[in-house]
Amino acid sequence: MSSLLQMNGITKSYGSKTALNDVSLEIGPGKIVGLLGSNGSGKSTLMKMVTGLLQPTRGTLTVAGLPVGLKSKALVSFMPDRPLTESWMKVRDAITFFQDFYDDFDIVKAREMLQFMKINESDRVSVLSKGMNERLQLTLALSRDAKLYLLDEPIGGVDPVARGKILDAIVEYYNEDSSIIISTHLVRDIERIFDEVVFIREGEIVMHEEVENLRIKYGKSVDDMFKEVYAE
Amino acid sequence: MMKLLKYDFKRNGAKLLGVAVVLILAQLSIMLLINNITLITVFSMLAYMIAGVILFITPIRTYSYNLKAYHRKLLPVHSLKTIISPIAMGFICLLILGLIMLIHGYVYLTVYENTRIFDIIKMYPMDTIMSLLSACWIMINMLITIFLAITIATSIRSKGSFWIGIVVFFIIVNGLSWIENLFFGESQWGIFQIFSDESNSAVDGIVTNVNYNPSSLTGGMIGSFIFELVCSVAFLYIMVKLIDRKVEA
Repeated sequence: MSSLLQMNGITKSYGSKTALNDVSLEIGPGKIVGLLGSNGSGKSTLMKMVTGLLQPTRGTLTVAGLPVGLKSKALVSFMPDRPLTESWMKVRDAITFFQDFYDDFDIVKAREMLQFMKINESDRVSVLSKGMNERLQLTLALSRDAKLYLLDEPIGGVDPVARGKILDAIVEYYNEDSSIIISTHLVRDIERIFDEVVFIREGEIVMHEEVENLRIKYGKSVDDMFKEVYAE
Repeated sequence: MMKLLKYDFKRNGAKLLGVAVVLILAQLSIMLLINNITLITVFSMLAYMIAGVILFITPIRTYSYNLKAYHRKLLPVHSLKTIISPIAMGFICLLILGLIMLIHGYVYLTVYENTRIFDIIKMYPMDTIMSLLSACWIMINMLITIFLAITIATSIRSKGSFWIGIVVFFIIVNGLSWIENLFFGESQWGIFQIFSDESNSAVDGIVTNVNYNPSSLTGGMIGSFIFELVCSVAFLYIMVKLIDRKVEA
């Protein structure tokens, strides 16, 4: 099966600081992958590079065989760590914005998700709480029929109820032919939905394993393994 | 491109509406509260100038914002459209302002029976059209040059990139102005010659003198325009490459 995401020897440096160091990663279709690491380990940098927001200093990167660029942007749906909306927008404007620019945006799915997330289309984006805003951003990202979804800390900074709701939405609404990469350091809350996990530390991938293998080989849960890898 | 333009307008809608309302109120106040014709002219022009500056800055701020905004950078849209959209927005806004100003001026001159300027326009219709086209070109050219400086500054990830952008802008403007003078002498056309225009006009509504040499239109002026056009296309190309490869959100 051909890989959906292929990274070969990706390095990203900012002057003398190296954010990612010689990262090689391959993700196949139909997987929910956890990109796990502590703060500043390079998770967001890796995701931004896949989406074209950052350029690698070295290495090659392809999405569905395409180099990152105009065509790959149409295949990747990204929920970043900051809103994809503008302050003047109402929820319905945000939906229209996505509908206007992404051919794969599914308006029926979006409305269904908004109902599931209990978000009102007439609400102003600027008055939504952090949790509700995260739900909206997730709705926008998952309502596309993309090949690859990238969710950067989708449950960071929201209460446990919202977390549950967001995780349920991910499982319920993601396109099963595609793959999702979810970055987080809140492993315990989210590990139940992962097929594979990638541990990243100080810009280097230290482990890429199927969750099932992790349990069989090491007899540990993802959370236990995370604590072991990132023990200080 | 039209979709990008739509969202650029929507983002700036409140500001543009505000400028329009304040401008209307200012012009009404000037008309109703001031009796002196010279003062009316000066304050009216001042109000239009302030509105013009705000409308000129708006696309610059919009472009600068769009370069860094995740939701814009993630769109599967060619980078050239990202550049053209705010230019089009600024052009449309300033064009509307210019038209309002012309209509206002026409009404004002008709009311005060100052027909001298109409006589000059009738005498030099081609020159009038060329001046208006030149003003449009200057504006577009200026925006492209500023956008290039912003793009270069944004593509540099270091402290002081803002100042680098400003230095780049002045180097481009002065450098190209020098080259243009070298090749085309004193021929007048667009941005790089803007500060050396020798035409004289009075602000009290009566044009006193227009030193215009029609022969320059066929020779150096066209050459100058083509030179600036080629430079602008090159700037757009550089900007697209920088946005695709160097500008990071």
